[in-house]
Amino acid sequence: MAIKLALAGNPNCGKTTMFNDLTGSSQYVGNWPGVTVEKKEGKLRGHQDVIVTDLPGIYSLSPYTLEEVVTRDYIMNEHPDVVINLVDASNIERNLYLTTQVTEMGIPVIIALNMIDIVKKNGDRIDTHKLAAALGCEVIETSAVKGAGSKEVADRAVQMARAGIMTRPQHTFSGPVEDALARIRELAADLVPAENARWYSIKLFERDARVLERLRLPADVKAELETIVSDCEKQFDDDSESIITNERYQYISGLMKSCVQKKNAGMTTSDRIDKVVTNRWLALPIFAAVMFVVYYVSVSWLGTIVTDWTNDTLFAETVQPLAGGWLEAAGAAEWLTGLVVDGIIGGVGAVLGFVPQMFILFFFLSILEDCGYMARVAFIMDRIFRKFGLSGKSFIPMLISSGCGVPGIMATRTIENEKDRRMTIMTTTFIPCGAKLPIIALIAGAVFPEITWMAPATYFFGIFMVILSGVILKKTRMFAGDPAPFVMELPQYHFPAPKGVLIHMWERGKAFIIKAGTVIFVACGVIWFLQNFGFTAGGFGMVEDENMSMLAAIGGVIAPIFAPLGFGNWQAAVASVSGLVAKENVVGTFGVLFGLGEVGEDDPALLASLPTLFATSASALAFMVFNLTCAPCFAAIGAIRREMMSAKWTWFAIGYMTGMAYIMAFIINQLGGAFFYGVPFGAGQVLALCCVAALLYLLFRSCNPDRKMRKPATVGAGA
Amino acid sequence: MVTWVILGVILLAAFCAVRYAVRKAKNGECVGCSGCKGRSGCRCGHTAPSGPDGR
Repeated sequence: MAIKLALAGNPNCGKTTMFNDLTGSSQYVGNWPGVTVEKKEGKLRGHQDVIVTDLPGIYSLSPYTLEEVVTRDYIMNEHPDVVINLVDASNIERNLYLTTQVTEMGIPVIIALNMIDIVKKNGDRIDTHKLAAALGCEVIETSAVKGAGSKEVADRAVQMARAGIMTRPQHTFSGPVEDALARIRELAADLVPAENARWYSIKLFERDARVLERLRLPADVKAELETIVSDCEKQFDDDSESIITNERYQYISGLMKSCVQKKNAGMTTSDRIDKVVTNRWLALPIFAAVMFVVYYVSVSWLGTIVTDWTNDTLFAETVQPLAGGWLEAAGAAEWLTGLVVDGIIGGVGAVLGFVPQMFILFFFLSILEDCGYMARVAFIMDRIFRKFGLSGKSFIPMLISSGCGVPGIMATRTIENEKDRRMTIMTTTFIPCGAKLPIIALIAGAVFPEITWMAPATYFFGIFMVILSGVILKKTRMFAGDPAPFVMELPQYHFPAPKGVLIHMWERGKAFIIKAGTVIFVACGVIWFLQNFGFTAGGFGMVEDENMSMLAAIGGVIAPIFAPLGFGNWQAAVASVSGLVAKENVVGTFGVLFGLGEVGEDDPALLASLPTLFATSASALAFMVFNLTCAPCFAAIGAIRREMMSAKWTWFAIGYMTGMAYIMAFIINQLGGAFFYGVPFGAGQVLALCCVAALLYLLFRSCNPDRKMRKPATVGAGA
Repeated sequence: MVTWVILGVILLAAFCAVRYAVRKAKNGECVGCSGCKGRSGCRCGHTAPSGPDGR
């Protein structure tokens, strides 16, 4: 029978890092809490019969959050053979709170004193022998990031499981509480397993709703339990849960005095960095500067150099001529050569050309995340978001969305407030994901090559859209309410682990390449077919003039919708709609239409042809804004549907995003054209000003507190 | 002949790509994400691709 080891601990204490180390997996490790929202399983390296489970990070075993319920239920129902409790040694006092609970569960526990390297670096000392004796379980020093100690912990856990070594909790509560627990234990003796009796007694003492529901105590037992708990509460003049919590902290405080020696109580290196980085006035400019550099280097400078080589040398000068020549030599039909060279290689190549930029961007984002800076960004944004009635908790999914919107949407599960969660789902894809990077790079490179801040500005435009939407939506009955409190532990700064950074970068880049080889490949083939075939006087067949093609006919029907946005031609309309399949498809479609792979994004031919699709540069900007902020790709829409659990809410979210994108693009095109490109003032500009006025009204209108307190939102509930 | 052979290969590749994408979509997973397993939606970075041996 397989041995089951479970990794449990506080959020962001290194569980997933250790999990990856033990199983050889390459799970995404976020340097902020809430990354793991479901348990994950893998086999221990070199032990086919040992299964390691990574549980979501929790601070306690109270049933208040989804993560706590998942972890608790797993330990109680699945009965792992050993729980490896990861304790962040640099925050040991708070981490031990969970440890005191885990050791009471009647399951063998081994403690991995993680991040011990940081403790040693700070000059602090932890007496692990004393700690082990006090907690009644083995303590092993580890540094999961450096891979130190992880194997030792796992090997010891396997030995414990095989030998059946049990953990004997040493911690006891004060006399009256222990008396009450003993009476409860006796009372529920027949209802709970003997090995878990102490944990159940404590939970019954705390009146844990889920345990009470699960045990279905008979009425007389319930009444007696209530008498026991009430008597104790009277004695302490406190509620039962607080009594237990206070006594746990008193115990931990004692442990700290006897086992931990702090070198000094002064500021650590992290504290000193934070004094600057999270400073009230400097935080935002520093964040803006950091993101500017990241996007500038990834998209405008280094990324462009590598992408140009990929497009110009690899595809235009090597792959396409080679493929074309080979097909011709093999005697393939001209249309097939067109399909392969212009359709498939042109379209897929246009998307693949941006892979280097993507790798560079994710490389930098991974470093920022791993070193601990991105966690500070969530803290910084909380301060700003709160001013607008939003919670910083919403920013974590947005940080994740900068990679891919799907996990970003899923990360909203950590937001307990349903209204805030829905609002975050609706706004999180405003942050440009990796798939949107080619759109940014293409438009910024082809239309605004001289504006270096264009690419970084798109990231901040995403944040702006989130704030704008948050303020507007918060003032509606559906989303009204105070923002949920955001408590987040800031990890210590550390040098990023090269392996973790490279894994993160590779995983994201690989997904992009696979998408290009599957979805984009098929889509480009379809686009090429629709572009080259159509109905002519002679019937259905290949057309000489692409304006006679089926694609032109389909695009021509949709195009008028986009005319007010400045790109009312069939090419841009088709590119925008094809973005629903995958956002990379926008560029892939241009690749097929203009042979992007052939010419390269900064080729004069493209510079001449792409801008002809847009009335002015403002229209090109409107095109980019619309495609960055409108309804996300089908995969993300599917994720929205699953997380909203309501068709009505899903349609509302898609409609809202597309509507907002349309309005913003309309304003940019109409007013940008009039103010900067000499477009004469007319009805469009008046309507755009009306839209601005309407947005300003929605932004600054007072929120009626009475209306806030009315019955909760019912839109889509249960649909 | 060459034309039809190459077209056949392209169509086969397209069929495989569509089938892969549809299967992924049916399971609520996203294309390209190797970490997606099970029916609880894409968990890019949120779930484990089992053991190092791929099983």
